[in-house]
Amino acid sequence: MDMSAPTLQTIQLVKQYQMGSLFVEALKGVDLSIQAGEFVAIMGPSGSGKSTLLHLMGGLDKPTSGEVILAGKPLSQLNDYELARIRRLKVGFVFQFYNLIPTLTAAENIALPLLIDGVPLRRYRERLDELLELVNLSDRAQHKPDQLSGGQQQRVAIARAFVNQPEIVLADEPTGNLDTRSGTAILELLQRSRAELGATIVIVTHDPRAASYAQRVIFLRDGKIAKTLGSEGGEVSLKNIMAEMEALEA
Amino acid sequence: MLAHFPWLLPLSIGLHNLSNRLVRTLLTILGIILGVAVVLAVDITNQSTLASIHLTLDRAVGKAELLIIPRGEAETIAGELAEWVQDVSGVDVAAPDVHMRVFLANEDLSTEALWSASGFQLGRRFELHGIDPELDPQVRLYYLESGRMPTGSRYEVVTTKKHAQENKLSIGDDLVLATINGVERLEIVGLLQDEGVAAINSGEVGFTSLLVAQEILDLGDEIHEISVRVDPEIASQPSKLADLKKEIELRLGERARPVYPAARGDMVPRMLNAYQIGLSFFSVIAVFVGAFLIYNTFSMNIVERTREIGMYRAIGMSRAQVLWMVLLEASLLGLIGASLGAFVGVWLSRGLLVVMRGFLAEASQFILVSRESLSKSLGIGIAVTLLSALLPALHAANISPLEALRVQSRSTQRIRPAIWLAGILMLFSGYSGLYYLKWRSQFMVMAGSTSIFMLLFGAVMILPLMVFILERSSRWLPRIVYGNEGAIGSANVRRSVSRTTLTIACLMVSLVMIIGIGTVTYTFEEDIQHWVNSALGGDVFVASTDTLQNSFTNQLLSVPGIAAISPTRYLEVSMPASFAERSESKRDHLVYTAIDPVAFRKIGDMVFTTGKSNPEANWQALEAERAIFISTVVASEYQLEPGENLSLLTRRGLQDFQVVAVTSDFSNQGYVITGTYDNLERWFIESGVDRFTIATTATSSSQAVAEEIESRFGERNNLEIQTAETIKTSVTSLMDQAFQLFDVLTLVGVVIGTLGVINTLTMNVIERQREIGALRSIGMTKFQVVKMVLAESLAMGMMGCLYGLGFGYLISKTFVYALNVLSSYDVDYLFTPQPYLVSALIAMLVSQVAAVGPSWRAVRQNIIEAIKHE
Ligand SMILES: Nc1ncnc2c1ncn2[C@@H]1O[C@H](COP(=O)(O)OP(=O)(O)OP(=O)(O)O)[C@@H](O)[C@H]1O
Ligand SMILES: [Mg+2]
Repeated sequence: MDMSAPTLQTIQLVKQYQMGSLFVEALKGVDLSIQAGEFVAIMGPSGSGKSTLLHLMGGLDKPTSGEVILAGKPLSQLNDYELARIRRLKVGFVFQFYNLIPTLTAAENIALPLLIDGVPLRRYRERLDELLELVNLSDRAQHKPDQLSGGQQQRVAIARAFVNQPEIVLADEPTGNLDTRSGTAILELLQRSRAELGATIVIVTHDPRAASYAQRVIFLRDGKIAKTLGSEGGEVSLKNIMAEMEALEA
Repeated sequence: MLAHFPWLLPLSIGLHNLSNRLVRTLLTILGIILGVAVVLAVDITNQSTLASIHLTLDRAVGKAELLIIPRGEAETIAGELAEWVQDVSGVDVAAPDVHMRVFLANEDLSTEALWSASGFQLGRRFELHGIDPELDPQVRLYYLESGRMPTGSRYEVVTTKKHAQENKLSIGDDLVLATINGVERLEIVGLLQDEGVAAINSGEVGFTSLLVAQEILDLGDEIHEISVRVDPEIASQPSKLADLKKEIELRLGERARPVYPAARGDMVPRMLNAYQIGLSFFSVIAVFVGAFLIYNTFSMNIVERTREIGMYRAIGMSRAQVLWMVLLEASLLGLIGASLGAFVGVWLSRGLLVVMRGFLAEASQFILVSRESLSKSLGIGIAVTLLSALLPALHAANISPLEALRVQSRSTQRIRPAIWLAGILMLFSGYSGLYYLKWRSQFMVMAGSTSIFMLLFGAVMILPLMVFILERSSRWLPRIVYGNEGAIGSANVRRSVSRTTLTIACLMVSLVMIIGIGTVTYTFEEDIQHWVNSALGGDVFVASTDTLQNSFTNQLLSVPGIAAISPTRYLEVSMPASFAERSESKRDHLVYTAIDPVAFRKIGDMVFTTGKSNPEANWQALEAERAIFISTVVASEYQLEPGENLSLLTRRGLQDFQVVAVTSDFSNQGYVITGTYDNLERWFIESGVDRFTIATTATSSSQAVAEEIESRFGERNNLEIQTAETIKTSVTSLMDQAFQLFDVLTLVGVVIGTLGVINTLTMNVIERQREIGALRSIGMTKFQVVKMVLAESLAMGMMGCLYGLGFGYLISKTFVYALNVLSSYDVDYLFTPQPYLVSALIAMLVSQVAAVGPSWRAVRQNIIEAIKHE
């Protein structure tokens, strides 16, 4: 793979929702490219299309027009089965509501993508231990989700997102449900994972503090990129982010 | 407005809930519909089954339950008695009958020529009946092929199609009878099919109106007998029928006496009684299943909304309001579901019965929806809905809002020990109610049904306890079949113990139905088949209306192809009143069957129920002076055991006969004892043969032998000749018909199981939308999701199968046991693997077929929608 090529690229991404005779245009042509190893935050007012964009990037949904190129593959060309495979092998998802399987233990939840892939677990024992270590849950490996706190559950979800060494990890408000301390721990975890595991991370967030962990912050408004901090625009700092947010919401 | 009427708030929220969660509401209503429909459908099917069995028996032995015949030496009774008996309460129809053998003359023979040329032998004997064309079809089965019944005092007749064809007659022609008074002409106005009355006298029979027959036969106002059809309620209860018979006997006094029709006896009411009891068990199961389906869906609905209810509580709704809200919803759903269910029930049963079209043709007139079964099913529908809403609602009202609002619902639920303890208690009382307690006879059926209900209930209640064990012993299967997804799927069954319990219970109940019905049917069939085979023994049977000389045996032996002959003589013998008192029916006469043991054993064998291990000793003992075998019926009616004595009135006074063995013999409705010719001659001073059982040589066909006997002796000795083969075929086909409708019940069982699984899985899938979405988002393919749902279902199927097979075995044994206790119809429990294999197959199949819809639902949903919100 050409190292200079972006890990993820969106080209004129448009997403329309039809509600009866009414069309809602959630994304109105988004061009975006994310390099390997980058940590990107997407911000914007509620309803600006953040989640929609994230879902399209992860191949959970298909755009109305435009293209998502993930690890060199245009997603629009893939069928349902191939999309599932891409999600399983190239993408890791983290959600606001953890979405763990309640019947499985923390360790089993982490290993779930491998399980789905049909990989015998014992081959991944080491990796599992490594991940449990990373998310600081080695002593909770055999706990079921309902025996874990929200922050712990989210850490399990993050470990699950990383288990397959994905090209990119997509997180939609991963701290939305957590208190500040747990939220900080999650963000530090994400950053550390990026450093240690060499992953690319995109998070959607409302929280300027969360966004400040990123190298680049992309602001959406009405389905379009309104501003970017980090690469071309200003520097990523809490102050700049808050100012931008205020400007957008005005 | 809501502010002024706080109680309206729950109502508005309740209604809102119903319309907002349309799918769930519809599923719940569906559950109620099914519950009500099942109760109704089984009730209707039961009634139709019983009607069909009645019909089958009527066809075989006639409709009349009682016959009024002349007393003593008299040949006729007064015609007015018919109207008189008709007025006795409990009698539905009293149809008078006169009958006589007459000779038919051909058109071209003058009467004189006929009489002079033939003496008696020229025409074949023809049986002419004089009947009331209105009443008689109610006591005998007339199947008119064409034309109509004779009317009033006109000289008209209906005869059989067979007779008409053989004699080249058709409607409009005259039937010419030669009587002592000369020639009579009756115009043929109708022809009968070869069934029902057309079987009388091998089809050589005609029916004219009573008046005409009385005139032709010069009988005045006298008649020969009255056929009595009684109230069906009485007909199916042997003791009531016996009471009615007694009453008629008292009233008639010296003028005539009532008897059970020879072919029918009081065995038929007892059989009907047994069937009715058997069917009432199925009704019990149906009520259980119906209640259970409703509870299942409704409580699931509430359990699922625990969080939501917690939220209402958190924002200040009171407990009473929560209860009120839930109950309002429940009554609304109950009302809608129950009324729709009634329609579906009627429609379902009709539909199922139509499948049995051949049968339906005649039985359809009996398929009515009785008001009782309608109100019963509706009542059950609404009551159970409210009840099954109340329990979880109370529970919901009592849970802390905190618990309810936890982000992640608990992965497993605790099982409340109260439930399974109650279950064990129920099992125990159901068991002891059946096996240990002695109920008075009028409570027996109710107690038996209640016990079975308790057993089922108990079995369901201890299920939560079994879920883990069952899951552990079943999990290998989905794992092998579906791999890793199988493991995830089968683990899901532990998620909601209550729901898994309900599904397994559904499967269990349906398997119990299949196994129970299968076993009972098999047991009955084998019982009858076994008896037929052993009773038949030989290949050809020759019976005569007049007792034949013993020497006729040698004449028969001259027919080629005969290997052995066993003669039998039937003699009605009486017992002293003191002895008759022992039986509930106070019956004082039995049939003494005289056999020649050596000849008998060359051809067939007795089925002994005592001394089975050493039949040789039984036979040896029979050779003794005044030794007899008694049938199982006699043994139970008169409480006799081997070694005890039976007193009989003989030509040499009252004598004690020693019982040496009990046999399974249902000839003469089981009122039969067997002894040797020697004892017959010594004590009853009788001889002769009523029936010959013939074994043919290996190389000759029984049909050919039968024909040869017919041509050599048939006409002259008025013989009736049958082959074992034709009898077996007709018995088998009768049985098949009677049991056919049980297959409908099996089908109902399958439907229940399927619906139970579909219901649960759909709920599961709906509830786990987010989870399935999450699995898809981390890369599970649609196919893998399908496999996961199928595996979950397979796990439940396997669990239901294990439990259902085990419990089905117990229940089917219990069924047969209860039948034996509750009716005076004795059958042995017989194990047959077939229903078990069928059940296992059905459980697996049902689990997979039922999972198709839900798994389709699971993969069809949009991932984003699924993971978006709570
Ligand atoms: N399934 C859908 N059908 C119709 N419209 C939709 C659907 N999903 C999203 N939308 C619309 O698309 C737009 C973008 O929604 P999206 O969920 O991407 O916003 P968001 O930026 O994630 O908002 P928030 O910060 O509140 O999560 C909104 O106007 C929303 O109403
Ligand atoms: Mg969003």
